[in-house]
Amino acid sequence: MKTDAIIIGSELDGLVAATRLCERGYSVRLFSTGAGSLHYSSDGIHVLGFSQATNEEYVSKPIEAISQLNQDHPYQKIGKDQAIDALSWYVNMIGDVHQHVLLNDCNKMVISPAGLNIPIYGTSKHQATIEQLDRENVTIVVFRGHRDFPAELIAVELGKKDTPSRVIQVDAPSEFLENAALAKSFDAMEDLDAYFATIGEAIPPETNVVLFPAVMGFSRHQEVLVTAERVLGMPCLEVPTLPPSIPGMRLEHAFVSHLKNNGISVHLGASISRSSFDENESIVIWDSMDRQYEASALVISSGGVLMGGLNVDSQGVIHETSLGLDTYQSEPLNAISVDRSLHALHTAGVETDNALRPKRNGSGTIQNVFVTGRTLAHWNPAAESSSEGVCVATGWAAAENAHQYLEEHNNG
Amino acid sequence: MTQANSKPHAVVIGGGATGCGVARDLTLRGFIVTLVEFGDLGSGTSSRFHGMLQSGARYAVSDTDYGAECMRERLIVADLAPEVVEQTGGLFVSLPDDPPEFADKFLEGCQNARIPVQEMDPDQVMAEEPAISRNVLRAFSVPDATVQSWRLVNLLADDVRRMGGTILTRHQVTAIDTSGGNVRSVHVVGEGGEQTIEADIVVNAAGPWSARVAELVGESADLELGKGSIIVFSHRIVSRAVNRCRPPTSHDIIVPTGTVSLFGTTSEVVDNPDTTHVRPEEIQELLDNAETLIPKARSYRAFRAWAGVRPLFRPKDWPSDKPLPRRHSIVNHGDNGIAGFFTICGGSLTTHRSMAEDLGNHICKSLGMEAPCITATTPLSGRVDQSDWQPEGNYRQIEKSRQYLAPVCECESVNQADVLDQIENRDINHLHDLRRRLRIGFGPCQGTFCGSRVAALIARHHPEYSSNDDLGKFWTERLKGSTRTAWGQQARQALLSDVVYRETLGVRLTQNILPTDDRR
Repeated sequence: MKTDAIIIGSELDGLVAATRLCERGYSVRLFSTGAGSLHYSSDGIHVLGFSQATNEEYVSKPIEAISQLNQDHPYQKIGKDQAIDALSWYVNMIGDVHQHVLLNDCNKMVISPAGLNIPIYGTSKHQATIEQLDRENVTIVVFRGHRDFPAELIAVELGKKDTPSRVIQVDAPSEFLENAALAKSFDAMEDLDAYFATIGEAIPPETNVVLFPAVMGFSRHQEVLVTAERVLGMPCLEVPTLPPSIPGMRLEHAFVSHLKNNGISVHLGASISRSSFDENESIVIWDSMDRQYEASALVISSGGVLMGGLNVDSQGVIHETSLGLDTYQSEPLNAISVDRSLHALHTAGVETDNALRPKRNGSGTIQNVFVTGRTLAHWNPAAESSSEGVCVATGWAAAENAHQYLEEHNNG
Repeated sequence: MTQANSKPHAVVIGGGATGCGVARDLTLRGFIVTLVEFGDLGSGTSSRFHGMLQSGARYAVSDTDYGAECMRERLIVADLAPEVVEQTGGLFVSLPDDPPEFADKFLEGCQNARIPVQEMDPDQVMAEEPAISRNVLRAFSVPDATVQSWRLVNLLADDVRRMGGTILTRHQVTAIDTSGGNVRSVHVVGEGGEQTIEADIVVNAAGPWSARVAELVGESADLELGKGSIIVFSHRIVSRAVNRCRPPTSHDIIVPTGTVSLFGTTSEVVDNPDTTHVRPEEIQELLDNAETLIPKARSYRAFRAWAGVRPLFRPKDWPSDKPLPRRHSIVNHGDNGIAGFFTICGGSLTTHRSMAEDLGNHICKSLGMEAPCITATTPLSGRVDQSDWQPEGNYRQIEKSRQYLAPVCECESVNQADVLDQIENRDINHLHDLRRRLRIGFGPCQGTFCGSRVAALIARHHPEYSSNDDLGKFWTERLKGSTRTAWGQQARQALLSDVVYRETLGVRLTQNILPTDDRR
């Protein structure tokens, strides 16, 4: 069963690559061992919040700051123009299949569950930004017994900014108090008006913005929040929780549905047991049930060390797990210097050329394999606050490069 | 005496097991005691060891008297504070590498030291402990136990407080006044500023930092500082503390404690008592040696490595070629013209009480006081629980109270009520200090999820709380230990933790948060 492309991993970058290739009319299969790192990703698009690992200054204009990054950084490899194209394509596409995301002209600050500021470039409608809370009177709603929303930290930090706020506890809409159980109960709720009317009774009258944990439904969160705003008569915004992140899971779910609706085979829970390919020839992989799949091009969006796409051995050497691709690391990873946090572990990964093509065993560049996202070397999502931006940009670039290869290959 | 007919005042410098034990001993003998600790209680050597409450079997051959003292004290500690002791039991196993004649000496030594010892069938031992080597030649069971050292130290300190003593943590001693050949007062600096504490007696119980304290009165303390590194494996790989049956040396013991197993220790003489860095070579040395006792050691998830500095005291005129004694030493600096100043050093957490008894006797004698030691028979007033410590104990409590969602730290099953008790009633408002008291952040996730939950409980009571600073310090300190073992699943865990702290919570690692990497 040969397809044009195979994508390994259901990371944001893999989902983007699959969607883009599908849009271009190619047949695609996507394999994923399980949940991707979107389950840890909060809402919106973090493009670039900080330009260096040790820099404490926020970046204001992330697109312009790309040129200040190290030459090996994935953004530099694909180039600023391609990054802009990727982001514009992404917000259009995601607006159709999931929810509207606004690319602002500069970074805004979203509020984290610890009450701290995180720079963000693309924001969704109900995502709480500092700007929206400035000079407002804020009530933070906690579902009684829900542990993964440390609301008191938000109140303390808002207090330091002279934004009056308080935490109120309300009865949870579900018996179980995990993020996903709460979200499901909003999906199933019949009388949203009555529920929010009850909450309204507990909200002090001086309030003019309400913050909820980002668990306000999986599939109908926009309807839930719009209803809350109508009943309460004020903006109702979401603040992320501790993982698993419901906004990230909503996005993953929207992507997977969209891909399936467009005829892409999505193999969830499948792992790759072995592979075989010669330089520039078609690629064959086997899953753990020993089923064989063939493709002309391969995109590896396996999520790096975090999701098992890379592995560190007990001697501190990093390995790529699906094809044994060549990797880069700045130092042995069992001796990471703690004063730079996990920088060496983050920046270790697969080394590629500017077209995101890797090598294996030091031989020539492989023409039909493309590596994306956290599996790439030379970037640090935690220090840069850039995870969704790099994943979207490299996923899109990989699809465009694969398209170019497939076009030449099919014609030749 | 500062005043006729009044109680004598004592200042104890050092809040480890030794200092807290001395403070309790002197308080029960009628002293008014102030304990001064420059960090948190038990943050030095008392928490940086393998956590054993020794039966003494380890020393039965090399120092039989000390082994006997350990056994006596081990029973007393377990009797006074059963809730901090887990009766794991201990094993000594002879492997092909171990000197075969040692096993008989060991048996004889234990009998001489009155340590209950029983030879076991090696096949039975290997069946009961599936993770250990299949080459056990002989095996002995002894009553080793493990101790929650922070909780013990805090129980002792709480007892002192209840009897009217003062415990000053995060206070540094800056000067000790002496005049007319006597100590007079101790100057300390803390968060609340400077203060002077009148003292008839000053006890230097600063462990590896004793030499620095002695210098304040122009005295010296001849210490040998031994750094020992330990690697922490996820899960309890063994059910009992398993020792190699050979003369006590390096990397010969694995201890199950809490939800983890500790393997140690390396041994290296260092100059600086603050040297707690673990070098990558030490990790490989530990893993190589662990494989002899635990063949699959490299395949287990190791989630942390850390080191402690053990101070051994060199008595006057001790021969340079003879190993330093494990038993404690007491120096009465009155012999050098500074009456009332005493240094106590060496020994172990297991013998902290008898060490304090010995010192208390010296002090009373020097003051001409008649006040017998009653620490062994006086119950600890802060006791909350009558049963032995069990790892699943917290879950039982949660189940009993039907607060199913109460645990804020699932790894170590710490419930919310205990955290709130510390914050509301004991004025504890840093994650680190809660960690030492309640074990939050000790388990496999190393504080990834509980950090912000607990921080929220602190913030509820402290509007000035800085989540960035406290979460940042807590997490980077956890990270410091786990970067040494960042391979396999642990590398993934470290990155997940990074995602949660930096990408989700938005903690920025500023220079004042990051621990210095003391790689030397």
